[in-house]
Amino acid sequence: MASHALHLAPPLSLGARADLGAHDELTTRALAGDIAAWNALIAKHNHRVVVSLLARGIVVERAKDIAQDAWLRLIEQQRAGNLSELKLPALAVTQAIFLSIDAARRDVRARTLPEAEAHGVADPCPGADMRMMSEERLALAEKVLGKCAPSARRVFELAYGGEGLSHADIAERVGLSTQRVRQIVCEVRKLLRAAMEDAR
Amino acid sequence: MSHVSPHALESYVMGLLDEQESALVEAHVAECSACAGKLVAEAQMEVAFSQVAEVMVVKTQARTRRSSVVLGGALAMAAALALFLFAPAGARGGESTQAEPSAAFAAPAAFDHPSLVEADASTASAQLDVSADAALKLGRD
Repeated sequence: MASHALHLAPPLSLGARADLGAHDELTTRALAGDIAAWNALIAKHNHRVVVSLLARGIVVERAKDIAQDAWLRLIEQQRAGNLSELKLPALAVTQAIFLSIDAARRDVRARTLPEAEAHGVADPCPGADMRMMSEERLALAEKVLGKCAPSARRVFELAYGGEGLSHADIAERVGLSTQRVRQIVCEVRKLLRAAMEDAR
Repeated sequence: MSHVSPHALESYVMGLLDEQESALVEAHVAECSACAGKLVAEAQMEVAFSQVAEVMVVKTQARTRRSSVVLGGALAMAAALALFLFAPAGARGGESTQAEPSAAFAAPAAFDHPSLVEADASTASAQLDVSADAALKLGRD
C-alpha cells in the first residue's frame, strides 16, 4: 500500500494525504469487520499498548497477554456492532488498562465485578487513561519543548501524539529521512528526560 | 548475563529493537528485578512523553485556530480598507493615479495597525484559553 505511494514519489503534501488516507482506510475496514485490517492495526499499535501496561508495573509476559485480550475485546465489540469509531492506539490502551485494573481487582479482592463492567468496552475518552504526569512536570516538559525548533517539536508531537505514527510514517509526512526523524526524537527525549530527572 | 544497558531499555520501549533483541531484553528483565524496575521507569517515561505530546498537540491546534482568526480578521480589515481607498479612485475615473498605490499598500498597513489586530487577538485568545484549559482539565482528570 505505502510502497505504491513511495514508488510514485509524490510531493510532501500528497504523501501526507496518502498516509492519512491509508490510516483512515484501515480503520474503516476494521470497523467493517475486516480481520486483515485489524491485524494490521494490531501490528501497528500493539507495542504502545504493551508499554502502557509495563509503565503500570505489569511484567512483560502478562502485559502482552492483557494487550492481546484488549484487542480481542475490541474485535468482539466491533462484531457485536458496539464500536462506532476506532481511535487508536488510545482506545486499545484504555481497554488494556481497564482489563489490567479489572484483573488486579479480582486478584486482590477475589470478587466478581458487575456484569456491565466486566463485559463492557472501555471509555475511549483519553482522560480514562490514568495520568502519570504532575502539572509541574507537564509545565516543565512544555517549557523544554518550547525551546526546541518548531520542526523538532512537530516531529515529537507526531511521534508521541495520538495517531501512533511510526518513525517511517513521520519521515514520509514531514519530508525527512527515517534516520533523521529517529535522531530528532532521541534528541528531544534526551532533553525532556534530563529536565524531568532534574525535577525529581 | 550482564544487565541490560539503558540504551537497550530505551530502544525497547521505543519499539526499535528487532524480535531477537527484544527477546533478550525480555528474558533478562524476567530474571533481574533491578532491570525490571528500570524497564518500568523507562516505560513510564515513554507514557509521560505521550501525555506531553497530547497536550502540546491540543495547544498547537488551539494556537493555529487563534492565528487563523487573527489573520482572517486582519485580511478582512485590509480588504475593507482597500475597497474604501480604491472606490473613490474608481468613481473619479482616471483622474487620480495616486489612489492605486495606496490601495496596493493597504494590506500591510492594516497588519501594522495595532488596535485592529489586538482587538481580534484578545477575543481569539479568550476563546483559546477556555478551550485549552477545558482540554487540559479533561486530560488530567
